[in-house]
Amino acid sequence: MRTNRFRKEAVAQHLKQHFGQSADLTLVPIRVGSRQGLLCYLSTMTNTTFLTENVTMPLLQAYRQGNFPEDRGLDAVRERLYGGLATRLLDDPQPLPGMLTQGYAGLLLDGEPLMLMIDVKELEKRSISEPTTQNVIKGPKEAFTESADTNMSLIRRRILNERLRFEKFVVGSQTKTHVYLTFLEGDADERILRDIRGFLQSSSIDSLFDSGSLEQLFRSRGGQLFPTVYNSERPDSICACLMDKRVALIVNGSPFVLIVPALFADFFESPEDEYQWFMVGSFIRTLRYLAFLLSLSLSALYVAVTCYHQELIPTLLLTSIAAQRTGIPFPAVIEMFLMEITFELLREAGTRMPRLVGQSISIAGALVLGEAAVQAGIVSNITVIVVALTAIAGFVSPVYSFGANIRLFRYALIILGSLFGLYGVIVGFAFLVIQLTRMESFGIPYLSPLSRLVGRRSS
Amino acid sequence: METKLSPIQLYALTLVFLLGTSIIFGTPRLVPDTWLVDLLTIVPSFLLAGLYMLLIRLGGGGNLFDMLVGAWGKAAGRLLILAYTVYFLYIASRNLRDMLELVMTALLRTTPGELVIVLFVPIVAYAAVGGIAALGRLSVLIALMVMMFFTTLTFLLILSGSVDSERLLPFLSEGFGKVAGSVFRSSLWFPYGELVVFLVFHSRLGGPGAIGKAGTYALLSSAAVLTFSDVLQICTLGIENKQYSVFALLDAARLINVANFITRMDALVAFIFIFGVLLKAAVLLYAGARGAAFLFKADVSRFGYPLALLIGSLSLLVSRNYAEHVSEGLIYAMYWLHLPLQFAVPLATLLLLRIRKPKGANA
Repeated sequence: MRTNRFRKEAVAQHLKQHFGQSADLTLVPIRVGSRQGLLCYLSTMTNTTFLTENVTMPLLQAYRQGNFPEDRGLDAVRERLYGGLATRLLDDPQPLPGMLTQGYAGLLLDGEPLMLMIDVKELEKRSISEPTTQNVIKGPKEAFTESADTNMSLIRRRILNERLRFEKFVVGSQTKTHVYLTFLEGDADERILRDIRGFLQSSSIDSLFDSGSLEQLFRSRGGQLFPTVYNSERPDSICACLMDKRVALIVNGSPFVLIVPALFADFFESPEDEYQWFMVGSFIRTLRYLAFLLSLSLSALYVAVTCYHQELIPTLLLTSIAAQRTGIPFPAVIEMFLMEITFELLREAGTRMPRLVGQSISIAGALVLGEAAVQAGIVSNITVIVVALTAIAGFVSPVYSFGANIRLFRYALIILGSLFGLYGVIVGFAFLVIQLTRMESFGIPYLSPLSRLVGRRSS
Repeated sequence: METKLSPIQLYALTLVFLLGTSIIFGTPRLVPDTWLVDLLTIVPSFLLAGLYMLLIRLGGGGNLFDMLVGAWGKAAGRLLILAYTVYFLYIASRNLRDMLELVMTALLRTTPGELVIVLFVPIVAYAAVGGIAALGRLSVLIALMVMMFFTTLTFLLILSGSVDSERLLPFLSEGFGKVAGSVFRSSLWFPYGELVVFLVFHSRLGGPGAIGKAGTYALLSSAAVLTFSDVLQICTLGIENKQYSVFALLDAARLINVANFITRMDALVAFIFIFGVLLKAAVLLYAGARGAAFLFKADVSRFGYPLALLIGSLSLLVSRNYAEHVSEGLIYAMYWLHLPLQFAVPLATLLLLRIRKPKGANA
């Protein structure tokens, strides 16, 4: 009676019902001695060589050498032939389709009450390469890849500590993406963990392809200008964060690993700072803060000061600016916006463009738009300088997404500066500062210094 | 519940609250030796702060509003709470007016004042609604900024050779009596008496011990900074100029000239002042909102933005011009508002609480 559950025809019928005519569903009838059997797997989740070597060959060999445990059932087969592989015995055909999608192959022999599932997942993956967005000159050159298994291995091989945990969650009702919650047991704040577990379990999204979407989900809870989640493609950076008693989230399919809670100061740290003389590290870090302030305020200050407070500029510089601006038909704000938008266009075009034509963008940008615009009297030299400086300063932040958000606020500051002069810029700054002080990342004040991140929560 | 502030946050909050506006205006200039007034005010200000500390200890965990109801009974207590709420909002609107005047003088000469206020008020409310923990963090930043800019200002003034200590003379030209009188007539109540607002949320500040300690340091440092600032202003402007200048620190900053390149540091002063007023108004608004919430039994955050609009419009309506604004502050507000609400009512409440409390139950 129980044997009927795993009859060959019934199982094949069951699978065809679930997968339809999908081309990668492979059902191979096999014959071991006198017994009929069926091997089923998804050809897209495994590799034929691997399957032949590890599943079919042992079976045949054992039969040929005569030590196939014919009478002792699948349990013995599992122990003797597939000792090295992850295997499971199934007594109910219900989870079978789900397991096939996860890379298992199912082996059944007529007359057995159970079905043997063998993990044969073998996927093509990109090899570990150098980081593309967070480069360092000195320090490890490995970056995460799209495979969560590789990423976990990259972390584990750096932290040889038995307290390192990878907790698996399935997020996305359609894609069923695996998300791994990574932390050091005992170090990470229990309340933060509980928060995240609850969030992952209750999330109602249906697809998840990149950690970026998860980042936005966390973010929408606060709705702020500054990111409260840190992302990195550098294992050393993530490991340093784990040692800081934080929690990492690895999303299968994304080379960017998330870290929560993230604080303001995180976005100014590069792992490289730790690998060199502390004076150099501190100097560079200070430079980054300065660059942040510059990219935020320089263009707004320029507009405010030239429009409203000419007396604040030293006289010589003022005459020079005034001389450059003679013959420019636009007010300073319009001029500034023209150049800022132009730069944004250049940047966007430069990122999306196929690499082969990339050169033409830099020529068009630097020569045609920069030089020619100034010579044609559309914008003044000083505006070009200001915009260029702002743009360069904007890229100094080690985390790209941080600089991206600030760009938006820069436009608000320029408008405020053009309407209210310095007062507008100061008020805009006040808004930013208040938001920073009000913000919390998983209960930790956003502005608190990193050294204080010892599981302190304010609520 | 929100967490309590760390000692540094408490210190910074008190310090910025005390310095917020007075660093620009200095103490009311009733006598030539204003800096001496600043120095002397420490003594009575400690007595006043001691009164508040006694109230905190006697009131148990309760804040000012609980104490008022406990001491005066329900009806009179609620009336007093209303008075305090209005008082806090009034001071906040006066602070906004101060800022408005400075911005109109230093930065935007022709922009309508209404626009300046409209831009500022939501920011104040945004800060106030964040609660006392966020205000504490904000105050640390502002304290750092104010100190940094103040130091820069001093260095630039010294570098440009505008500082001359001879200008402090003549010393005590009108006698010591007038100086001492000025201490009690004005400096004590502004800015020190305004600390009464801290009674509203003292339970969030970290207990009487922490408040006493951080408060002491904050009082001492603010007196030191104010004295230093006054000395600096007199040394650059001279006694006469300083006495008749509207924004003495601003006028002093205008004298900065280092090698004809670093000139006109008005923006720095505006920066210090705007941030100081921001925090002060936010603290007062927060206290006012708590008062309103206590009276009308509703959530504090619901009052933030409406009351902010109220103080914004009040700041424009409160006086017709700057002269009226100053005289209102020095004469009417001093005797009709500061003296009763900062001193008389707290003292009476203290006595009433003392009498009402059974002798044995002093624990």
